[in-house]
Amino acid sequence: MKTAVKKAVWRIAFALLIAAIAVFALAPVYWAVVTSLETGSDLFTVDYLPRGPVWSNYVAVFERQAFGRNILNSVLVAGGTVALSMAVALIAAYALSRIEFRGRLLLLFTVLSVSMFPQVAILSGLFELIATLGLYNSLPGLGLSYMIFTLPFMVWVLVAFMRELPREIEEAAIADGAGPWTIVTRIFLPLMMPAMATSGLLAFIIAWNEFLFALTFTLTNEARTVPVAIALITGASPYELPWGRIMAASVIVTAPVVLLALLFQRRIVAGLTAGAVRG
Amino acid sequence: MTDVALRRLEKSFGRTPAVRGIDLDAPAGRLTVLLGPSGCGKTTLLRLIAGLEEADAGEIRIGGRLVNDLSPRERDVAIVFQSYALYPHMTVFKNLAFALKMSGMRRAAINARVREVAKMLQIDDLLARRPRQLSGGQQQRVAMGRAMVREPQVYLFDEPLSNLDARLRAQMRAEITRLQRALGTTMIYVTHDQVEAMTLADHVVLLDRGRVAQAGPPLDIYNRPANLFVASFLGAPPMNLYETRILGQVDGAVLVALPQGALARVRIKGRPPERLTPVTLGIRPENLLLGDAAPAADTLDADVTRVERLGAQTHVVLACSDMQLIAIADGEARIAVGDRIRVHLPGSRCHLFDIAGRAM
Ligand SMILES: Nc1ncnc2c1ncn2[C@@H]1O[C@H](COP(=O)(O)OP(=O)(O)O)[C@@H](O)[C@H]1O
Ligand SMILES: [Mg+2]
Repeated sequence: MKTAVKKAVWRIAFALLIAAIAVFALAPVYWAVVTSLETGSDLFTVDYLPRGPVWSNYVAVFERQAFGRNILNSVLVAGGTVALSMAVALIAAYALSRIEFRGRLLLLFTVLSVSMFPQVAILSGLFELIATLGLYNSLPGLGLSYMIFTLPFMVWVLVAFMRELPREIEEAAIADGAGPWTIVTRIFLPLMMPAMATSGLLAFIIAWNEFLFALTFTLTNEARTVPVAIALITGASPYELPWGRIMAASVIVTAPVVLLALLFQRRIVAGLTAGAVRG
Repeated sequence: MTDVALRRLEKSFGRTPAVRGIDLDAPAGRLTVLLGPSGCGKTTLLRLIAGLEEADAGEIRIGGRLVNDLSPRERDVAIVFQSYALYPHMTVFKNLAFALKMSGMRRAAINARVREVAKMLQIDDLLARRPRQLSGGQQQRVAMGRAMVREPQVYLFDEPLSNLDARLRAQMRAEITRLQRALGTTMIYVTHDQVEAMTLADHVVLLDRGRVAQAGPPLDIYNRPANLFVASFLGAPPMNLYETRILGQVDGAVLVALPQGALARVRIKGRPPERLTPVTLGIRPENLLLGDAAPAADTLDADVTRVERLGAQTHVVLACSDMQLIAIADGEARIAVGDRIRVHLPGSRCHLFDIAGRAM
C-alpha cells in the first residue's frame, strides 16, 4: 500500500518535471506562432491564443520582399552543403579508418582543429579566399564556407562509426572481388545510414541557421539566405519593427527543420546509440 | 585440381612473429586441417593464403602458380570467416549473389547458381531473410554458400564451427565431409579442436608457435607423434609423460627405468643412446594395462587418487611413486579412490623423446 503511494508520487513528480521542460523549450516557439497570427496593436498585448487568427503576416512576408527566393537559396545552400559534406566525409572516413598510411592520426586531428577556431577569427581570411575564388555574393561561396563546420564533425562521426564495423565484412567483400569504390558505396554506405542521417541532419541545421557568414559573404538579396533576410526585414518607417512578419518568417523557416527531425527520428535514435549496433 | 604449397613463409606483426618459416603442402582435392592452440598463427596463415595479409618472406603457390603478388580475387580462393562476416544489410540471396555480380555474371545465371547452391545447403527457403533473422547454424550455411557460389579452386575455413553448440557441430562436421567429397575441391580448414581435426582431415598440419610441429594423416600423427608438443597436444585425456633415463638395451629395444625398479622395453628408430641418457617416456591412457590385464613381470603398484566416471568410460588417476598416470577403464569398472591396483606399461605402446623433445 505504502509503496504504491510512493510510486504514484514519484510518477506525478516525474510528469511535472517533463511538463516543465516541455514548456520551457516550447514556449518561445508557441509565442512566435501566436504572434505571427496577429496584427496591429494585438501584437503588444499578451495573448495565450491568437484573437481571431489572421494570415496577413504570412502573405506579407512573400509580397513585401523576395522571401521565396531566400527560402530557395537556403534550401540550395543547406542541401548542397549536406550532400557534398556527406560524399566527401564518407570517402575521407574510409581512408582515415581503414587504410594505414603515415600521418593518419595527425591528419585526423588537423581535420578536427579546423573546426575549433571561432567564426570571427577566420572571417576576414575567408572573405579574401572567397573573393579570390570569385565566389563572393554567390551560393557556392556560402556552401564552401559552411563545409568548414560540417566536414570536421561529419568525418569524425563517420570515422568513429566505421571503426565499429567488423573488418571481416570488408575483407569478405574484397575476397568477393569488390574494389574500394564498391565497398564504400555498396557495403559501408548502407551500413552507415544511421550515422549519415544523424550527422547529415545536424549539418543541415547548421547550414540552415548560419548567420554571420551569410551576412558577410553576400551583398544582394539574390544570394541571401533566410536568417539574413529575416534580420533585414524592415517596416514602413525606421521606427517600426514588423514583429508579425518577422515571426511569420521565423515560423516558416522552423517548419522544415522540425519536419526533417520527425522524418528521420528513428534513424537519429539509431545513430545516437551507434556502437551498440553490431553487424 | 589445385594444391597449395607454402615455402618458408614468414609474417610478423610489428615485433610479434605470427608465422615463422612454414613449409606446408595441402594436397589437391583433399581436406587439410591446420590444427594448433589459440595464437599459434592459424588465422594468419589462412589470411596469407587468401591474400588478406602480405607475407614478409617466402612463397605461396596455388596450383603451382606463385600468387604472392596477386589480389585475393585473382587467387581464386574463397574464405569462410570465423565470424561469418555476412553482409548484414543484404538478404541471404544478395549475400550469395554479391560475388557473382562483381564478376559481371548475367542476372539469370546468377539466379540459377544461387538457387542451386542454396538447395545444396538446404537454405533455399531462407533466401529472402536478413542475416540477423537466422540462427547460428543457418548463418554458418550462408557463409559457406557465399564461398561455394564462386566455385573457387580452394576453400579456406577459419574455425567455422566454433560458434555452434556441440550437437550442431557434429552435424555440420558430417555435412562438410559430405560437401568436400561431392565437390572434390581442395580445402584448408583451421581449428583448435582436435576432434574436428581427427574426424575431418585427410591431412593434418599441427602448428606450434608459428611453426609446423608435424604434418601427415591424422592417425599417423596420433600414433607416431614427432615430438613432445604433438604428443601432449593430441589426445584427451592427454598422453602420460614421465622423465626418466635409459638403463641399457636388449634385442634392439632400449630399457627405460620406471619406478619401483620396473622396466619398459621400447623399440626406437635410431641408434640406441648411451646408458643413463635422460629421456621422456610417453604412453597414452588407453594403452595402459590395469589390474588382471597386466602381465606378471614389470608391473607397478599404483594408488588410485581420483576416479572420473564419464558413462562410457572411467578416467582413473594413479600415483605410483613419483609417476602420475591417467588410465582409461570401462564405464562400470569397479575402482574406487584409495584402491591399490596393478599397472603395466606395454613397451610397444610407449613413446620415447630425447632431451630436446624429439621422438626417438
Ligand atoms: N593484426 C594483428 N596485429 C598484431 N598481432 C596480430 C594480428 N593478428 C594476429 N596477431 C598475433 O599473431 C599471433 C597469431 O595469431 P592468429 O593467427 O590469430 O592465431 P590463431 O588463429 O592460431 O589463434 C598471435 O600472437 C596474435 O596476437
Ligand atoms: Mg584464429
